[in-house]
Amino acid sequence: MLNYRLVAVLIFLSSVVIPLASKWAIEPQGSWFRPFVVWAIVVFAAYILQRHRNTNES
Amino acid sequence: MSLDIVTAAVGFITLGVLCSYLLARHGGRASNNLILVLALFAGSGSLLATGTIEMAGRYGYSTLLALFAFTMVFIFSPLIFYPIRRLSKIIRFASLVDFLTFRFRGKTVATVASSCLIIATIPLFLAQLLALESVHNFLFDSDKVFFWLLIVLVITTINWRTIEISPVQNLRWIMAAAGLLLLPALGLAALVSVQSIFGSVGEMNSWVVDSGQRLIVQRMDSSYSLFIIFLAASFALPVNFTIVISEHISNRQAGLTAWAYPLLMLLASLPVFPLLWSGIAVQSASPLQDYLFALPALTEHPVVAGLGAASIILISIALLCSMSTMLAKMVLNSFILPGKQLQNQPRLVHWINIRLLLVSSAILLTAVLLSQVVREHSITDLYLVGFAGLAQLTPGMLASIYLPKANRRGFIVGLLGGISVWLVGLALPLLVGDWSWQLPGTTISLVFGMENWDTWAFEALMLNIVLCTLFSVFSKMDKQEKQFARLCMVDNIYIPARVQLSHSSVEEINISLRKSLGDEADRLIERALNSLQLDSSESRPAALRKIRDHINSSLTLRFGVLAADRIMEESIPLAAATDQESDDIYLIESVLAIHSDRLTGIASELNKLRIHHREILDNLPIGLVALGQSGEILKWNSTMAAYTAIDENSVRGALVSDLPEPWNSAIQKFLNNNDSRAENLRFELQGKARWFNLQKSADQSTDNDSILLIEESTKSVLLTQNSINNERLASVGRLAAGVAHEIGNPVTGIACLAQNLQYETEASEIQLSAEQILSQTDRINQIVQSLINFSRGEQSLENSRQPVNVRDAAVEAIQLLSLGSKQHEQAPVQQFLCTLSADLYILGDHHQLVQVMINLLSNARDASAEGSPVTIDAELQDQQLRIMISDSGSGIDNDIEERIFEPFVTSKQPGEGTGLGLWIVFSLVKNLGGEINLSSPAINSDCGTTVQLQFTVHTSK
Repeated sequence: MLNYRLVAVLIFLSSVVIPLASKWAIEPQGSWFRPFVVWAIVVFAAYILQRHRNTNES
Repeated sequence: MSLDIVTAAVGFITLGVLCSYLLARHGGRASNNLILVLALFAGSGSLLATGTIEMAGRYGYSTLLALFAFTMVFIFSPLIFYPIRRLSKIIRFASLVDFLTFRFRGKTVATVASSCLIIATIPLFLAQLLALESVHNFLFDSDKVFFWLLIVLVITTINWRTIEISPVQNLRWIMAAAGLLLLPALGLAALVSVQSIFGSVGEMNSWVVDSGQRLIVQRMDSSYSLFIIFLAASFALPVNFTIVISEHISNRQAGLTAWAYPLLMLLASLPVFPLLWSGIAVQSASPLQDYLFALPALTEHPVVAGLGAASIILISIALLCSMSTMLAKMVLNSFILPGKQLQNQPRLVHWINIRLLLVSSAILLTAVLLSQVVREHSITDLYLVGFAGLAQLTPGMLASIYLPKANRRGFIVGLLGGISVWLVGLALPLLVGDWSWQLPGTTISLVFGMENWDTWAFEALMLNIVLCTLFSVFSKMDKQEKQFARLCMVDNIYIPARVQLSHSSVEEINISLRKSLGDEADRLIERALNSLQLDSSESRPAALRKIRDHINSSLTLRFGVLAADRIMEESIPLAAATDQESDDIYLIESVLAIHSDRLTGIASELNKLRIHHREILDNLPIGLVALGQSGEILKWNSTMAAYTAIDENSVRGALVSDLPEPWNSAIQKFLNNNDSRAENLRFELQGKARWFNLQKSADQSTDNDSILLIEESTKSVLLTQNSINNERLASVGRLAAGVAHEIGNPVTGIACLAQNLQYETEASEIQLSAEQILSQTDRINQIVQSLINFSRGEQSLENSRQPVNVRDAAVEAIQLLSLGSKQHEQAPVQQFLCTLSADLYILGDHHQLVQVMINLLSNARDASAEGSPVTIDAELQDQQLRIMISDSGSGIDNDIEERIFEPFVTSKQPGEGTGLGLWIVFSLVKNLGGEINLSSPAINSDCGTTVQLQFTVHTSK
């Protein structure tokens, strides 16, 4: 069974979130560590999703 | 300074290895998880320790995008690794090549895939060796030959230990040790460098803005190429596949990698830019890839420099060990084992281990030699080339799980096309230097080498995809390819077909497997039995198929797909073609039960319907057995389990002939009959007779499964028997009424004559005889009256009850019996030992009690040996009189004991008893308001019978 939700998230990320996040991360006036903030948010989201998955499985 | 760094490096290596070892050996679940994630983190090798700083200098923030892409394989592992992980529960894959060989089938696939993977991995080997060499060059001025010998020796020793003991655990903790050192090394190096060079992070930030570095690093010119190549390479990176798929980590651990691995990569990337800027600011002469140890050394921090050097040494050695053993295993599985007759090797495991060590050492030595040629290139170059090569495996891998039409020809041609472009455009220029070629007749000049690395990497990947697509579309797949393509699909659930094996027991499988594997077969079968919790005496076809699947899986993991297929075909072949058999109902059920959480939409609704239908079948009030074509039991519902006391789990998958008696012969006989129904078949179950109706599905053709319905008809049969008995009793009643009427008149005449005789003579003997005649005629009248009552339906004598002396009734019965049948004519009256007290009375009818006594005493006498005593005694307790008549005869059979008071039940020979005596006793005792019980053997004896009569004693006489 194809994981439609994950595919939908992927499409949403690639079409909306990533362009916006990239634009914000590399703004010339921004701090140098902005890309790391974006990365950290992705890690946190992955952690939340994974915790949700574990809860469902247990 | 150099000595301090060396001492610190040696100390940190020792500390890291020790910590990791202790965590792996003595830690709990959290430690194991940490070891797993650190090992994965270290799987990227010296890239993070050296390459990323140079990449950051070369590509700016694109480096971060590349590293992030590298972690995406774990974030999106439900789409990529999970489908293969699900399949690997059935077939264990030692490497990506094994998976591709399983999917696309054939030796060519294994040869091409493993060759390409080995070639693509060589640059990564070279990168590790260059990282080691750079550390050596920084720390020592000595000859490098000794250094290389030492490195080869260390790696060979670790490899041997790894191969000999446990590849999984050993390599994992060594790699984790490297990861454990790398994170603090990067963090501390950045911290001390920024502190020493800029003074503080704020100062550094100001310098970044003032120097224009912020704009420089924000360029994203190669971002897309880096993103795609790093993402594609992460799919095919051998370390990732081995840890996530081959080593069989738990689902929870696999889930952990989704966020823990990107987190570690994020933490490792954070210090990269501060280190880069520190080096630029201080105008360090060291190459960027050496900053991890060069900058701390420059800023007089030898301990931190030692930590950096230690992390690079450990991570490079760990990855070299890991990759060399993985590639050796791949070579063995793809090139050596498929054609090898393994039964000729008495010490098979040792033989394989030696070859693994030899091949891994050969790969390592080749890499060391090549590293002397490519030393002009940076570690970043080698990683880019290596990752571009690894990326060539990714289209085939993704097609395996998402594109059922992708076929062997497409995969091979695509991979060869892609890897050829990669070789010409990127790999060979590493050895021979960049070169250009002007297209004949044009002004276009093609430049081969790192100058256009992204172009060549993309073109190789595109050519691979295009060729794979074209050849897959325009060439046909054979049946086997289609079958395995379907099996590997992302949405497929693997359900083994109900194939017929040519073996019918574990012993036969063992004997056959020994011919291919020698003594190793015993260990394989033992492991399979332990894992499946089966017994070596197992003969159920379904269980044997499970054992076969388990052995196949183990063989695939150890010897690769090709060798495993050959061994299985030679040793445990299938007796019938696979497509002739349907899937196992119970396997489908169990698999659906496991994966029900993955079902959505209409599939979920259908699953609910399936559960509903299953419950209907299970709860049917009649037994249901579904049989496969070969007589294999597929379904055994709960009613059937209740009838037979055989659990469904123990019989499912077995043949009908494996059933215990009497089911085995009864069902087989019925199945072989042409009749579709058999009624009231008698079964002896646990000493009781039970009756069943059997019915089978009308279509008994060999193409279909058959259904057998079994319904218990014991109650119906017993009711019918009772009805017949009642009819016989009614006949007896009618006869008794007729006889009573006919006997009544002559008996009245005899009584009158006896009275006359009594009054007309004074002779005492004649008077006694007359008195006895009157007594007997009176008894006849009572019997006749009883028969009439019986024929009228046992009217109660409640109103005519009178006090009856029990002893008198017993004595009269004994006297009457003494006048009884001829065969006991000569028997002494003393055979009956009556110890009843003369003052015991009950309320009732004297003649009925005499009749009860006569029937019981005559039964006791008939059952006893001649001269054997029959005792009559009584005990009084709480106004309850218990009369006990005991004999020491043959007793009562167990099978009729429960039915002994039913009419027409007798243990006597035909013609000797009617089976009505005890029934009449039972009726009369009930009529007298008493209870009757039988004990066989007799009370306080090991033989005979005791009949206990219980009445309420009458006290006011």
